[in-house]
Amino acid sequence: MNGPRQGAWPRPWVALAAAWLALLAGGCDGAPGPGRQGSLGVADVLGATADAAGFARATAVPTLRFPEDHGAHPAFRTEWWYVTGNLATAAGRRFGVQLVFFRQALVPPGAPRPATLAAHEVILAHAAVTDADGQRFFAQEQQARAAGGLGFVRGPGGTGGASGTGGAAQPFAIVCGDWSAKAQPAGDGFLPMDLRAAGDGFAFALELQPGKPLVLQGDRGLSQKSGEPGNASIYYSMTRLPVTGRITLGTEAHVVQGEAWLDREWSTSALGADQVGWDWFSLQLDSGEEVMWYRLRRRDGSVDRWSRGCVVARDGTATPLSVDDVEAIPQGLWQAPDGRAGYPARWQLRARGAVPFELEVTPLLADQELRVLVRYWEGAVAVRGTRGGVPVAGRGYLEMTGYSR
Amino acid sequence: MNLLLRFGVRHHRRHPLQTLLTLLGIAAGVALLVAMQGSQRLAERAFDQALATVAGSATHTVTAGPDGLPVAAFAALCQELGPRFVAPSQRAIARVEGRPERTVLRILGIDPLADVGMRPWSSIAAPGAEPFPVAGLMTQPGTFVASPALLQRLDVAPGGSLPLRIGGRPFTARCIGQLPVTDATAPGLDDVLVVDLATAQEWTGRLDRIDRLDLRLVGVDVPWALASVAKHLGPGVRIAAAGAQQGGLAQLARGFRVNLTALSLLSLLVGAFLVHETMRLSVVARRPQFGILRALGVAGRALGRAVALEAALLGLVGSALGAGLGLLATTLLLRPLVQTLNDHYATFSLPALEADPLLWLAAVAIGTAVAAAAGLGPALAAARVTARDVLVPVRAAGRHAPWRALRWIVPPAVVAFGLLATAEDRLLQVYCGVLALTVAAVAAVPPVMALFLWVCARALAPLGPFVRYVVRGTVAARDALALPVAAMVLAVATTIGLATLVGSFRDSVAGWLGQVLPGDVFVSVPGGVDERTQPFEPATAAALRRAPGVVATTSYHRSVLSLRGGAREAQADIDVVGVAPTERFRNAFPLLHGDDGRGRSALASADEAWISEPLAFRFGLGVGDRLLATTARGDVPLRVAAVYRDYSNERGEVIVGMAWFMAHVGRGPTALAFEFAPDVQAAEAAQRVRTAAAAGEQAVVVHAQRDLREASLQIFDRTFAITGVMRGLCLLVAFFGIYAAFASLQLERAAEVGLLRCLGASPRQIGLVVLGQTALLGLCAGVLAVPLGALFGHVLAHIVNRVSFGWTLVTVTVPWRAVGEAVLLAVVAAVLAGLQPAWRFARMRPVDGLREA
Repeated sequence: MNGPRQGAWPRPWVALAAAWLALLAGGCDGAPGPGRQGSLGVADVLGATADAAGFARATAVPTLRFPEDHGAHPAFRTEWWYVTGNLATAAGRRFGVQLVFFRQALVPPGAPRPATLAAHEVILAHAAVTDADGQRFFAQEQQARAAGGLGFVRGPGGTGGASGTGGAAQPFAIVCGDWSAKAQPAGDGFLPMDLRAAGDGFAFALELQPGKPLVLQGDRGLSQKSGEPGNASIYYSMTRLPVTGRITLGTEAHVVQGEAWLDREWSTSALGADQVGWDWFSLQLDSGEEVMWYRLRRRDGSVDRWSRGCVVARDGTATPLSVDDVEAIPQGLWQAPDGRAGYPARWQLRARGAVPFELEVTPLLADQELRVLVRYWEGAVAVRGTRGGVPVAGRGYLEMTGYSR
Repeated sequence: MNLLLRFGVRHHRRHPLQTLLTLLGIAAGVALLVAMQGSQRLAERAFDQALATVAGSATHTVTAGPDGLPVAAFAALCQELGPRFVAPSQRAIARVEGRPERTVLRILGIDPLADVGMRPWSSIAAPGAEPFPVAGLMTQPGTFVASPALLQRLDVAPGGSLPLRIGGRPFTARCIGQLPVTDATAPGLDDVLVVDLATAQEWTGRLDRIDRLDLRLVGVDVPWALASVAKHLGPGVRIAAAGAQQGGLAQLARGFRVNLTALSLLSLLVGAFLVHETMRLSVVARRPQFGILRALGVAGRALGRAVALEAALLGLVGSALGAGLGLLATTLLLRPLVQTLNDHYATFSLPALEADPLLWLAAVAIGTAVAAAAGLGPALAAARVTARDVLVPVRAAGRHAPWRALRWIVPPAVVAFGLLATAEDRLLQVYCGVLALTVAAVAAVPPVMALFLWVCARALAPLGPFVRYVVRGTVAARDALALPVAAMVLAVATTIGLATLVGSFRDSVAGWLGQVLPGDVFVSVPGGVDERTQPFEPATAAALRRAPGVVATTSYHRSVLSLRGGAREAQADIDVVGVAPTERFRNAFPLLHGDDGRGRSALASADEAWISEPLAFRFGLGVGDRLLATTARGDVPLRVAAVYRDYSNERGEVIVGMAWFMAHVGRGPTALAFEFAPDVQAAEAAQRVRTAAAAGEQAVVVHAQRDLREASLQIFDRTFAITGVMRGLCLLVAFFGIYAAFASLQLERAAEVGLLRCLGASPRQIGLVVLGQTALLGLCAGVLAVPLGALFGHVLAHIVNRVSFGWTLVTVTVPWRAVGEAVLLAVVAAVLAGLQPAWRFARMRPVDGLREA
């Protein structure tokens, strides 16, 4: 990745959002920009002016109300529901699962149009399954316009807005074609939740149960991503949710259970001019604690000072980590089969201060790259090391973006 | 190293050119095999892409009545089946306002998100193309994109606007970009405005409807998916398999690939001959050495083993070389081709050209095994050398009575016939059959060659003693030359077979295109959902017929009638098309059964019909059977006069003459196909018809068929260009075969040449004798290869038929130009191959030659 402009989300999908904006821009002026060819790169697509006018910005500490804020925030341009999980069969066969839904506004909400298929938002989704023992990785993307029931976010509690069709009584649901995340009617409007996706060679149906309490990231949910005010997101996480369900690979079905991590984030603005990518860790330790760390990378290779994270204690209390607390050291190199991207093969995470740890992060499978519209690496990892001097192990997910050439 | 093997190595080192050529011969054979894999995959992709361009990549289309499909039902389907398998569309007809001529455009409303991959021009990640303005179309009402050619015709630039009238209401459409079309897709889009579904809904006022779904059911349980469609969209929808995926064409492609492999194996046989020839030669040359070794007590079996080992080693080295050459050929020759394909499609993803290592190993193993087998004969000959042989000069083998050759011709031919006639789609059996046929053909070469030379001797005798000597010398050596010539015949025949196959295949595709896209300009009446059964107003039809330059017009009167009959006593609503056939239509229509004078002229009769193959199959109908059609005036019988091939309508279709149609259905034409003189440009022809249409009140849609047909054929030609690479390799193998043959001739005739020199022949004359003889042999091989090549072509084309269509016939055409080229090339290659021996003979000291005698 080599180009750059404003704004940053610690998620790959920034690029996706930007891709859509680029397409929008391309459609507006009718003339293609130079170099905007083939598969899209983050920098390429961010080259298009991402006009934030007409959208809300994350400028202040939010007052969040649940379950309503689990639903869509159509005033913001971009929003996602991001689930990753490490699962296993009773026999011990290990799997990783990723299912993420993005709500992406193409333009700010405007006057309604008469056509049932008129849409100003798109629902995008990525699904992936890592078969650690079979050394296979499946990934696919899907998109649907937020109209006519093809794609939508609904509930809970009256925040449906332009993309939703529901009201206060509706439990949460997000749908992108045949992929969906739907809260069960008997729950709190959000959890328990059923996840469903299917692609070439894989399918899964999982049930997320309530687990540890949610953690507000950043400053009580306001997660500043670069120096400019408004270049921020509203960000909270559910760091450990029990999961059960079924993963089908080809014709073999596996009954699985394990633990998932759910991230919620919404925002409007884009990467800082000198930020080129990020490495994001969500680790669940067998001590009952979780570690979240995102490391924003600058063009010159240095670590951006807005890199942040936290350690969530067994009781759910979070201790923030700042850029001075953590050192993340990439180790080795994994080359994508087509040679168009190279990622760190392993990581070492070291934290000093109030919650010291030293962790080795190793992918369950080297190739967990999603070669989709905007390519990135996101996959299940194993964790081993010490926490406060005591040996600890764990599982998690790692995401690396901005490494494609 | 074994002493005997070392002798062998030394022999080959002393004859480096001969050995090198043998290695290259084997290498070319193996390279052909390896390159075939790469080119096959590429051809497959190119072919699929070509089909997708012509017929769309959809596997099924779903349409409903005039009301269309409710969006809610479609959404429910997407939530079960997944949007990646479904591309919805809404269609409409628009008139451009404020233009002197009445311009009618088609509006195609698509979902750009679902359409990725379904229509090649709408891919958002087309390499080298500007991004498809997905978001612009979706969020800005009334925006469209169109092909550059159409924008130019309408004089609209991106950013400009266009006043339209749709269903009587005025709209302003705004252009926001150009479609990334290529010359392959352009003709089909020459009157289409592509808009977002929501814009189409708003323009047509059908706000909660879509007209049609294109399904691409690949990688999904098809029956389940179709059941899901029926469940959500109701029983009223019509689900039709799309043309491209419908058995016929896909199987045709498969049959084609099978035959390419068969031909590449044949070419490997020529490589085997090269090994045989080299080893035989080296055994001949080393007879004195072998004799001495035998005298010294070396066992004959040990000599035989050493020779066999040499052959296997030559095979191994040559095959390894060939595997590398194959990769090189794939890379150097196919990559530019991929580039060409890339330039002509918006998205052509390059298949992995690198053959997988297992395949390489297999090719090397096959090459080595074939070489080892070919070395067995010479090995046996070596084992039989006795000490006494040192003292005895090499004698030409005894002459056999010609009828004895029948022993080697008739049984293999019978076996070949049996195998091929019963092969169905068992590939191994097909290959064995072709092999048996090859054996019979090779065995037939000596007697046929003798006959050919005899005729030559008679015909050329008056040209003087020198020419007579050239011919007679060849006749005298014909037994020694029979095998080399047979190999050459085989190699040249392979290239002719390949050309025949490609020609037939292309003709079949062209025939199909002519049927799917009839006439030069095709005009139909837009009817919203179903354009096909809407009739012209008489004034419009008359105005259209007056378009200047029209040579012939076929009018189609399409209606739907309830038919019943056949062995299955079936009953269904079937399209019945009344046609007033032109000469071209009558003669070129692809009839499968009843293809005789009576069948062809049946449409002139009042109660006969042509029925499509799918209908014949569905109803259990054959030529001569009767059908009952329910018309307004009761049941009317129809006699089946012919069955025709049709990939476009799997429900079946009936073509009747105008007399029958007007008597029992009686409605105006629903489509007109105009033929223009060949010198009228396609675009010009379309423009003339558009202008003529503008005189009438009725909106019509004008399709420039010839453009589309030609563009499609160009695509197929590009696909076939790959086979040109293979032909080149075949000829290379042939060249090596010829060279090996003359190298052997040189050895065996040294004594004779020495004698000639002593008798006063000049070196130049000697050189001319050799070149004349090689040219004669090249001509002989070329001429003999023609019938064999045609036979290969026919056998393989008929296997295509059986593998592909059961009993359907593909037109088999012998490409005379390619045949002429092959014969010419055989002569040129023979002369080239004779150059070096000629030079050597010319330079040879007479005494050296005499000493060998």
